[in-house]
Amino acid sequence: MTLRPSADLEALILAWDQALTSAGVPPCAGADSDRLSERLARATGTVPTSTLAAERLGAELARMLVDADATTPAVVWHAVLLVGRLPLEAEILARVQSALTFGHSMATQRRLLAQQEAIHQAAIIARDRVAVALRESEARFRALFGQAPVGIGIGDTSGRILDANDALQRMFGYSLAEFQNSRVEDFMHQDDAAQVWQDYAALVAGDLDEFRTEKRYLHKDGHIVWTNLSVSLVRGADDEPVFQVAVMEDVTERHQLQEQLLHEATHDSLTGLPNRALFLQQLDAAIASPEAGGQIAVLFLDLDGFKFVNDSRGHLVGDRVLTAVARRLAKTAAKHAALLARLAGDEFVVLLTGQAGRLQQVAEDLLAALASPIQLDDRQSVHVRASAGVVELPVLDANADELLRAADLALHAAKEDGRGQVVAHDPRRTAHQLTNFTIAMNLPGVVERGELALAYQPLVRLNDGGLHSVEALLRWNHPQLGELSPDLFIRLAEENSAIIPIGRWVLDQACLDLAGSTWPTVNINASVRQLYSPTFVEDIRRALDRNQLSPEQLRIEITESVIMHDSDPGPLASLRVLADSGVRIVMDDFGTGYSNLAALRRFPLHELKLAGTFLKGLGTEREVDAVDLKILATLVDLAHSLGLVVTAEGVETPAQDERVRTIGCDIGQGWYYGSAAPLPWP
Amino acid sequence: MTRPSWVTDGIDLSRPSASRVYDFYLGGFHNFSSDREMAEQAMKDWPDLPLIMKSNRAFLRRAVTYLVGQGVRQFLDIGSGIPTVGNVHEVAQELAPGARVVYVDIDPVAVAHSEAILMGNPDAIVVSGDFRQPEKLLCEPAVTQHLDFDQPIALLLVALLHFVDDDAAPAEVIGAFRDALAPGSYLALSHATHELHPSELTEFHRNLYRQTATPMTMRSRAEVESLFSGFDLVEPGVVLGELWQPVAPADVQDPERFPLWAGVGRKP
Repeated sequence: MTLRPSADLEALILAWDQALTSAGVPPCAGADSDRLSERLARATGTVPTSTLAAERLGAELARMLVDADATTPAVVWHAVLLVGRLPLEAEILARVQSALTFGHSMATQRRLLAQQEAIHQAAIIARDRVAVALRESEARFRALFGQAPVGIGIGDTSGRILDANDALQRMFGYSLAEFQNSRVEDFMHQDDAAQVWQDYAALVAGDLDEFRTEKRYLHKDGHIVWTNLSVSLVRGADDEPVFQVAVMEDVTERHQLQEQLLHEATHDSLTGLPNRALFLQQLDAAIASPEAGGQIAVLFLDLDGFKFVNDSRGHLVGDRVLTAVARRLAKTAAKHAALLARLAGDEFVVLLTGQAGRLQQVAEDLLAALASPIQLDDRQSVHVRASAGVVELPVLDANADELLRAADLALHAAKEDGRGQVVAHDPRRTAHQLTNFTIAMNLPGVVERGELALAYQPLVRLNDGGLHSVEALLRWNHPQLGELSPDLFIRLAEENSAIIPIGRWVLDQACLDLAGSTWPTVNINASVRQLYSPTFVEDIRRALDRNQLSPEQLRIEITESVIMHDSDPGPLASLRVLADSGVRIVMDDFGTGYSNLAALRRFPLHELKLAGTFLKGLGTEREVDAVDLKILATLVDLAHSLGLVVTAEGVETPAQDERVRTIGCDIGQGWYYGSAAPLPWP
Repeated sequence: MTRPSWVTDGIDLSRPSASRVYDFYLGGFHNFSSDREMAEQAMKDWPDLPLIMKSNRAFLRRAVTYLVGQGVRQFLDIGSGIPTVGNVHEVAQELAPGARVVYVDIDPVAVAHSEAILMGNPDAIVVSGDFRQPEKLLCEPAVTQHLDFDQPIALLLVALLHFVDDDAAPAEVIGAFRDALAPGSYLALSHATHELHPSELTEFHRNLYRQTATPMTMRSRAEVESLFSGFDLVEPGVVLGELWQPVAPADVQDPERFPLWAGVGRKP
């Protein structure tokens, strides 16, 4: 069909639309494209009459098409076809088609060259940029690698070490050449966690991109280097593993500090033994993971009278004793695979797990470990003893708090029963033990609260029945427990230092009471602790002066335990000063302890009191053992030969009175003559 | 992957690039043999491809025209490729001289070429960047200096998101951009779909793009609509590209030949 341009512009536009569409230029691809077919239609609507106009039309059509990106050969094909349908003379048509083909080809070629040039330029620029970026990246990497304070090592995925920075060389003591001749596995440490090398294997296999851990290495000179290690996998362009990079921070110092802190937090600084915290942790762990049929045993061990060592010899000596004790106990505990810890002061605790039946043996071994004196230096030695409280339970029934409380109660029972004992926990004892705790808790401030009182018991001359003296006996009116005798609280007071103010109160009160009475003299009891008090002599002098008493009116009763400490000059010197001033010194309770007759000579004694228990046999109605009587008579004779006045304590019956007279005692004391009573006396 | 971010990919011209393949379909010569080979191979099975690309280009033109009409004077065109004839800055600046345009592309060659094209145009710039790293793009000094984020901006993601796979969570990335845009800003996007053609055809096409740095993920209309979360879709919603506000509705023929979902949304 021939197109009739002048008649129908719409038909021309439609024709161009179809031509463009056939050539792959969209028919409805927006305003631009519409305008293109319209412009093409308008241009082709004017029929060229000259060859020049024909060429001009062809060139114009070509420019319009190329400008609108219709650059494909198909466009030329369809445009030439469309032009062929215009009512043109052959020559004119040939000119239009030639000019269109020529122009399109020319413009396309020009555009192609220009755009190819442009895109190549862009590619070159982009490549240059990448090259620059890579160079900069490499420079940055080199700077980072070389100057990093952390150690960096690079290896391939086979484990060969390719590079190691200065920091890493310093950290491990190896040169780069030495590193390059090593493999990653050469740096395995026997104590490495298995996980580290599992992770490593996964990383070089490409299954893991990085891992971090704390790992130790051996320095070339053999010492351990602790590091925070981070290993990363570097993949190539194809995403396959190529390199591994290990970054290490030397944390040896921090690690040591942590270890040290951890050790300090769980160990006693004096003895190096585990402390309470670690012990409780281990105890909890033992309870938490019981073995079948297992027993758990706790043993509390407390040095007898350690406070006394500390106070009399000073803390320095006390510490040395504790250290030595700890060493001996630790050795014994180790033999039994038991955990030994120091709880506080002179309290030790042992944890024993496993099969039953070993506990008593362990306890006895521990006490036996302290049998020989502790040699502090060439001159000084200290003999310490200990008491132990033990408790043993099937692990399944155990509860840490109860175990500890039971062992503690058993320990106190051991102390009650006399030192140097091992006592097993007995639930029935608990009530009694709790009383003791209450007493110990209330001891501080007992003087200030005015809860103490004195009762006086007469000492009677056996020859004429006259009053020889009175003994001041201490009572504590405890607010909850009622009146307590000294047996119940004096030893506790000695343990916790309350004895000093109590002793001073007794002294002052007894002197005051004596001054207001018709008694010739008063006996007061002094504990060993008081004898060590530097103000003891001065306290006595002041009490006497205040009440205008002469020293001869005061008798100080001491116990045999002073002899235990006879290597120490302090107490003996105090006693000498007192004796020289006229105060009379009485050895109380003779016969209960060491009964060391030889020691009696070294002390400035005036009197001796035979212990009540000593005389027990004399109180029964059965036949008195003649040998016992003989021994006692000999003892009294001996005392007399030392110039000592002898008092018999605990005389309760006429028969006893008779016998103490028979064996030659000078003075009698006991219910038979008069019981202890507070002032005023009836 | 543990490669430091400052180590860039090399330039491999033997590997086809989506932006240069697109340029070829549009009739440009900003491409290399690898690009043309891939395009020609694709056209053997799907001769409509050049038309589809031109249709997409036409949608871009209509969308920008619409946006300028709504008063938008700032454009952030991500995945701009090779900005040949009829690109955003040409359309926008012709209608509103001084309109500001930031082109973003991941292809270093496309960026270098865009720089050459935009030389002497102070209102249009190109930056190298990745759609999948919105935080990085949004604090890129060139971007923040060129665009005023207190004023409406049109975010153009035209024929981009079918090169972003689900692992990159395109909806979340769009959300990050949306949060940075002022109220009155727009999102315009077009997206290839597999819903209108036999799966052999679309599958074949997706396979072709596997050799590029940006494999294809075609999405359904519903999926494309969900990308407009937080935007109010303008008329006529998400539709085939040919049907989105056509200049001459009567002339639209066979819109299904052009399997692109397109839409524009406004941030309230």
